[in-house]
Amino acid sequence: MKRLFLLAAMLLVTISSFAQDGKSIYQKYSDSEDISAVYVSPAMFKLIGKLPDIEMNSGEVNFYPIIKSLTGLYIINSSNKNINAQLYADVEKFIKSGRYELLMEAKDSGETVKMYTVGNDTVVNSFVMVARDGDETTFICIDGNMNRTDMEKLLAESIN
Amino acid sequence: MECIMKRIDDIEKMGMEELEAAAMAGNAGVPQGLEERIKERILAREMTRLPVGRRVMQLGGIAAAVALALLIFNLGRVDDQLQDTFEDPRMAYAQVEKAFAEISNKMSMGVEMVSQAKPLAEKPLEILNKTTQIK
Repeated sequence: MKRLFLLAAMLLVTISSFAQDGKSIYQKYSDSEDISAVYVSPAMFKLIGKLPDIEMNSGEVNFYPIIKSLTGLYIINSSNKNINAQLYADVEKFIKSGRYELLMEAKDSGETVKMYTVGNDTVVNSFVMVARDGDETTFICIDGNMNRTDMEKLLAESIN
Repeated sequence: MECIMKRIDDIEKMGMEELEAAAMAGNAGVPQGLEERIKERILAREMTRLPVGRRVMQLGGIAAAVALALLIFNLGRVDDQLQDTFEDPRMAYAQVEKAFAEISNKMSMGVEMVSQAKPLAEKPLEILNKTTQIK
């Protein structure tokens, strides 16, 4: 009987470790202290997509094509020193288990930013950004079927 | 050796009844402890070979463990439905826009670092060009 419980526990741990994603990270940390969390569901993205096109233009950047292709947005902003390291480690673990490719890594004056994407040459299925700056850690995960060109264009326009 | 070979040949030629009669008549007894040794061997073999019922129970146990793990995992996922942070799509859109602005901001940090490093990266090429021009 003991062996059965041990086997069940091992299976559970294995299954759980495979199940790491943006959602699970959001679920784990969204209710913690000193955390601000945002979740936008696929249904909400559908509603946003129905907003008049003109409202999608903010300054020079047109979000409309990308917004329509999104299926989930998870944001965790933590200023809780006790969980920052754990959050960062969980994101790293999730990145390693999810075939993510490093898009950019920058370190400047104690701030570390890492961006990852998963998808193919034409489509981005998920984008993850994790940033550590002193006592603050930010995790952003965007899921969807984003056109890579549109997304790169959007980010390039934003930089300019 | 020759004597033994002869005796074996003789034995092989003997029929079952003759053999039985010879065995009964002879003084050759059963080696000491043979019966116990045979019993031990049989018992050891029986121990390693599990009865079908026990094997089924063992397989059933593994299946139960897998089912239990899946059940616990799925129970944990029952409350999987996250609640939207915003009810108004305009507010949600504003947040998405803000997230993209944050990403762009961080990305520009990397781009800025690259542009700062560019003159440094081009320095060796400049030196190399100057050197080749002198020559």
